Amino acid sequence: MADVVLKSQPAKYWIQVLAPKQGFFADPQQSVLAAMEAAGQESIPVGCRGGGCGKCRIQIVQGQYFSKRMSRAWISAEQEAQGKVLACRVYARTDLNIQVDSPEIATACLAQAG
Amino acid sequence: MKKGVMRPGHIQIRVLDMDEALKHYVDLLGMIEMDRDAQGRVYLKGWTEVDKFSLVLREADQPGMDFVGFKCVDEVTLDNLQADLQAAGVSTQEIPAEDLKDCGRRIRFTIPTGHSFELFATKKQTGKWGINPRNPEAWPRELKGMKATRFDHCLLYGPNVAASVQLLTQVLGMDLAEQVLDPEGKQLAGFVTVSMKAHDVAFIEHPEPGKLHHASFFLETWNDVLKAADLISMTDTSLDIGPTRHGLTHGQTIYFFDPSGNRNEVFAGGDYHYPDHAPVTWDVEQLGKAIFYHDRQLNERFLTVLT
Ligand code: FES
Ligand SMILES: [Fe+2]
Repeated sequence: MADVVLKSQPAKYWIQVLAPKQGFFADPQQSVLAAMEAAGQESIPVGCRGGGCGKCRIQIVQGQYFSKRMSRAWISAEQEAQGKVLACRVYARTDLNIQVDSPEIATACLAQAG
Repeated sequence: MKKGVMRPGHIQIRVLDMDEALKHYVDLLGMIEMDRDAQGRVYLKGWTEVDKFSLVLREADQPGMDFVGFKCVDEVTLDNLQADLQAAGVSTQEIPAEDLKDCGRRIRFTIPTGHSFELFATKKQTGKWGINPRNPEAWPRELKGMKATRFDHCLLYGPNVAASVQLLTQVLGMDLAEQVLDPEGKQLAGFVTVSMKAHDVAFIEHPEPGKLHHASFFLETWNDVLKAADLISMTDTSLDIGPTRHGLTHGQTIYFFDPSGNRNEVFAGGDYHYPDHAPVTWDVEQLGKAIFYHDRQLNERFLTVLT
């Protein structure tokens, strides 16, 4: 029985966050950000979940992945080539080591209201 | 409508992937695809809108808003408003007819918050979608998803909100319906209308120019907003907040994101405005309640997640 369940399950990859030291499993159909949310963790900030706002920026330190188009406002072509990505547009293809790399994001001038 | 500006006529939004975007705007929101052009742009509208389109999607590598356009009563009004803008020191650019398919010439200018605004007077009218203009039925039976009725307004973030509000009210004859003031009386948010609606466009003070907070689409009832929330869950769409009520305008609302991270809103209800109404004022200390009337506090995304 356990064997049958195992065979029918898709491969899951381990996503190791380097700091804070945390990790979670992601299946290949799930963005790295969605997998983190599903695991109930908060190491990567969550914004739009669509590659537009920049909140979820990470650096892939090691591992293979597939990425969908991401806003050039947050990821230049050079950065993309060096593994800087938006976690909500990235899908693991092997286990990954990642580092959270949130950019400076402007805050509306209402913030002082608290 | 004192100077002949009638309503928000269109918004052009950049998306990262057109197929993903169309699944969202057509299948989930229930917008109708009306046309495409040689540049690959796709033209859509809500079913109650009489003009041919109100939402234009353009594939690009950075999401956000290209421009928002307001429809004026006629071409003479357009000439007059262009002259008024120039007299107020605003430089204008004329975009020729047919740059947007089946749309007349557009007068484009940049407002102080850094957004590209347009005025136009002519667009092909195809009538309400799916119902006969003569002896019309209540609604078409073929609608999808949330059955969005129309593009209603957008909320824009940028610096110099007070100056943008002043331009739209003093030069283009719009009205300030609601505002948020800080203790020194500085305008941090302005909700501007050209109609009886509580807002046709809104602004919030922000250091970066030209940002889109959300594009909003109108639904008939609170129950429709609840069903929209159900559909957001069924389709695993990225939810921001809601269903809830805004304090500002008192509309019943839900915020969510398109697949490129542009925020959308669908809402129902809300206050009304006549030209003799004084602006409704919210104090910035009450901002949480002004934005999310039930939670009475802002979520961090409201202040920072933009395209
Ligand atoms: S959450 Fe907005 S870019 Fe990933
Ligand atoms: Fe809104």
